[in-house]
Amino acid sequence: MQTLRDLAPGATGAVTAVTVPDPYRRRLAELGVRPGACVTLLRRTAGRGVVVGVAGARLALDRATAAAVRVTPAAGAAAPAAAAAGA
Amino acid sequence: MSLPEASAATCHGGGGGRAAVAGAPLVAFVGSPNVGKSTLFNALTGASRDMGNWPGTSVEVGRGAWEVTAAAGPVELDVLDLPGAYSLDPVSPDEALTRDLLHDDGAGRRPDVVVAAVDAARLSRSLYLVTQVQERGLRLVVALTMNDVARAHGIDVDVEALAAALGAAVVAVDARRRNGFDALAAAVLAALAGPAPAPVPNEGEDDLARGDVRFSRIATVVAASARDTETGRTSWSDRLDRVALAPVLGPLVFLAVMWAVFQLTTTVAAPLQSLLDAFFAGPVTSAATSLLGALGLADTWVRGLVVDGLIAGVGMLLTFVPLMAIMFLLLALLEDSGYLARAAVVTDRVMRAIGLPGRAFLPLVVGFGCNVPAIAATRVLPNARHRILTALLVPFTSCSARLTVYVLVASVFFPERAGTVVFAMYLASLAFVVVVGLALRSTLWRSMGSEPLILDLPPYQRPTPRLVAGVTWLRLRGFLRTASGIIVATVIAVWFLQAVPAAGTGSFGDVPVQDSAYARVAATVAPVFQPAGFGDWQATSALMVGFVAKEAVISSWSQTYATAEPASPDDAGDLGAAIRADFTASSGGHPDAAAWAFLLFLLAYTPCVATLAAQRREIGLRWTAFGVAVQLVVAWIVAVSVFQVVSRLG
Repeated sequence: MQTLRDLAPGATGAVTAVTVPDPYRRRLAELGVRPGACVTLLRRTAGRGVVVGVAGARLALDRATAAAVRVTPAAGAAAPAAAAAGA
Repeated sequence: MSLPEASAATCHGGGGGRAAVAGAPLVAFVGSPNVGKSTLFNALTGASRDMGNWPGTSVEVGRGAWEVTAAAGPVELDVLDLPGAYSLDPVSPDEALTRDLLHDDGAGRRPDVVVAAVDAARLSRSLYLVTQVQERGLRLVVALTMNDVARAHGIDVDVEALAAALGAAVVAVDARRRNGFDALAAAVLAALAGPAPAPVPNEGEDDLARGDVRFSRIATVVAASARDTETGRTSWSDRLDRVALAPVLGPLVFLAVMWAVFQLTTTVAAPLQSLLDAFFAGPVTSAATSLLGALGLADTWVRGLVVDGLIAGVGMLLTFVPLMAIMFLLLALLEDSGYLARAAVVTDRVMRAIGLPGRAFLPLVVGFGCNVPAIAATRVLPNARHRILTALLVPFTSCSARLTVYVLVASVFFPERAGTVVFAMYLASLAFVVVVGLALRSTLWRSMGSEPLILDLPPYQRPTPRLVAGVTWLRLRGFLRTASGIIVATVIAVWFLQAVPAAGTGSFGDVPVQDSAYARVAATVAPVFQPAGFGDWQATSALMVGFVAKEAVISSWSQTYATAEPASPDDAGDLGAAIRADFTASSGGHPDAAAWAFLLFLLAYTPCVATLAAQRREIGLRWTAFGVAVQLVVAWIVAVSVFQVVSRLG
């Protein structure tokens, strides 16, 4: 099961599930991160978080939240787990 | 349509802003953060606007009068700038207030019209709040902002199609260039002339289902009105973020920015403050003295009241003006430029480890210079709970005024290692912040530490000088209004206590400190510090003065021993000898332990009255009082424990 953290920088994926507890799951949905939405991993940040592009906006997520958003990568998008550090 | 009575619940104590006339239609501005809602509000309400905490909350709401021209003549609208909210299902107290005020403004009144700021470049996200407003059957006008940004990103929004699909008036505006204001006013007046629309139905059974209904509605609306040509995706914002959010460079940029903020609030502000101080101590005092002389009052207690009470108090208040102005300016620049959000991302992991929100880094850094602007800086936290927690922790950051007392005491009791002792105080300060923060969180706000970081990064933008200056002035004026009474009253109270003779010698206004009521009060309080080893009235009186201003501690301490004030803190001379003798006596032969206890107590016990005034403005009276109580208790326990342990270690 791939999550946002597994996407390569610049890759896009479709969200399949968000397993963050309420009310944050609702907040992520309101900000555009919900099942069916297209998200792009823009970069990794200090502290192993991510910045994603969704619905025309940029969202910064911490590591745990990024790991809780499951995605289906668009073709060839996932980075091998070993190379995920410090991209 | 009937015009209900204007709300009785104004949120602003003074009369600086001008609320609209009674009976004016109530217009509520809503929108997500970072869509330009407040820029629009500021531009439309101009000089009449004011910002302050909504009564009973620590959440800031803006209010002002918007003058528009109707067919029958000019009309004044009463405008409320509600806190930015992504939706009416709140995640923070600020968003909860927006939801509540759309329902009832405290006087049982709903807004007559809601103006929703919608970001053309992030249309589907901004429309979520709009769908919720429509479900409540409120009159609605959409102000479409950021059109230039949308165009630059290749997004094309058809305003008429959007209005038709939404079923509400849509007006494109540019708050920075002041375009579209007349059209917006016309749309608002047209909406006011008609009846409230029927609520848009939403049959979802739970939150999730209701959300889905809204999203599908939004998808239809966006499909009908917006075209995304997919050009210009990587904006210069993204390019800047490659540095600002990079794993190594990001923290470096952040440290540089924090260093600049710290320098500006200390090194740059200090000369300006000294100038003002000299001005009040010199020309103003001389002028007042001559005036009193002409009135024949030069040698009476009136002179003391005027010079040591009134002028000293007002002077102290005004010396904060350069410092606060710089702080408010920096806050506006950091916020408006968009950098502050990046700073929150960079610090998130470190701050999370000590249980604080990322943006709390800014107030805490500033606090090591001066606590007063640091309290003002808690504004950058968008969640009221976070603001309260941070504002309660700021006083534990050791400001530069406390440093002079550390140096004095350290050089008296630990002459070979004074520098190490001072450094230890700063470590203690950090420890206090972390430990008290954890304690407060785990008792009052248990869920706070586990909040995820879900942060919208607005595009970088050039701050508008006019907006930045306007907001800076508003905040400065607000601070002066709240702080003036408290500071001046406290300084006069201290003067009064020191003017009342209590030992049979002297007359009112002309009595040595040790024979005044002030000394009596200090002597009464002093036994409290016996278990901490420094239970003499002189040390107590120094601490009491420190409540007013930490800068006054050394001079006041000298007064109580009737010695000359030392030329510099590390060369304490007679004062040092007197303190040493007293501490040796009161601690039963353990003056060093008493010195540690005194230093730690001074660090933690209470901030100066100007900080308390700032706290009162930001978090309200009850939380400020709570903070004072917590600090006094923590400081006393730590001081006593340290003395008892260290004195036994010999």
